[in-house]
Amino acid sequence: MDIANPQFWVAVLQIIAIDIVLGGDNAVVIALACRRLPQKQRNQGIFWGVFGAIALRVILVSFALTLLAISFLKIIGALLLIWIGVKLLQPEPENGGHEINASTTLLGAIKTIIIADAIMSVDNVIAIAGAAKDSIGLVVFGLLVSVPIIVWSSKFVMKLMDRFPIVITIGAGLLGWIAGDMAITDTVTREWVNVNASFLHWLSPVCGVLVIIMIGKWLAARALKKRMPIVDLANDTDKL
Amino acid sequence: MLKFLLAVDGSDVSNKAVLDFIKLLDWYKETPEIHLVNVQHPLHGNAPMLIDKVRINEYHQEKGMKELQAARETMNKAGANYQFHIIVGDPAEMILRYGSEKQCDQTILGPRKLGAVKGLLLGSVASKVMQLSTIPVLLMKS
Repeated sequence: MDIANPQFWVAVLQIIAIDIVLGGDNAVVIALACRRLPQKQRNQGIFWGVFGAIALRVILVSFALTLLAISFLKIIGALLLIWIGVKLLQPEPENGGHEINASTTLLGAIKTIIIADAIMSVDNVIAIAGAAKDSIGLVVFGLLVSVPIIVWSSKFVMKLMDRFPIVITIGAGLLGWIAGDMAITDTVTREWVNVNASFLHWLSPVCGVLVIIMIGKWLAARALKKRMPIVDLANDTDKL
Repeated sequence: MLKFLLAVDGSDVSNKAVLDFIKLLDWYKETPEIHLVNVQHPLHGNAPMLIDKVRINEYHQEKGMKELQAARETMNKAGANYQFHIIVGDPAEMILRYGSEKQCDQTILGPRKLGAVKGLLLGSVASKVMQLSTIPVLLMKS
């Protein structure tokens, strides 16, 4: 793919969107994990957390394209992307949450950050590799774009998603599109699709979008139906 | 006693609305009980899965207290009878639910000023509350 090709620019836009939706999250988790640490440790925690997030992406990216050439791995990647997309559409669980890492120690924060970095780097790199369609240049571009988002603009990204929830839906749909595309370009499926069912080149991505949006929205609606009583975090009741 | 819900998001428009509303308190025969309600957007994506609930709540709480601060100062200065609340969820939905579930007599809010096009495309918390509210809504226009 070269710069004159419109497909190239579509991929570029897709990659930027993926980085926004999946990268901003990473920085938020790092900041939250370090909240209760003393100032000095907190700064260290954030620095190494961000460093780890970027380093992991670099390492994963260098493997990603080689890996995706292996049979069935693109199909697995596609399934993973569907899951990531559906998860993206779920609201904050009202009283579920994760209760394990309640410790306020440096060790607890490090543990959370490592897990977070690992999960989210994998998310991010699979999606980028899928969108880049075997172009190493685009993969590296995706990586470069994700760095400033993780380091500086996570707050902006959060505000953007709060104000325009449609951004999240678009992001999730985009992951479905990429997943559909990956499923039919795996080394196992590619030949067969090209010969027998070239209409799948557009049908499969469309199905990916529909699957994510429908399952995601359905699950989210079900979670919201069990309406919890309003929880007041301010604790101001003894005043009156 | 009259129970009023005063929505506060810490923006200039909202703080101005609080300031303006305090001046209208003489309109009412009895001193109303004012509930300052601040709604925080929930976190999405991976954060809720990886961070424990206690810390997420602390985070919402801290942000909420910051956004409530100016309104609380105004209330204290005026010597008003008030409580404050921080709730996580969709702002319009939570304001509506709080109003009906806690049996408030009126919702008061300062609508954000959007241009014609933006207003049409986005709608605002205020317009959603206005449309769906089951109790009277007072918009503090300034």
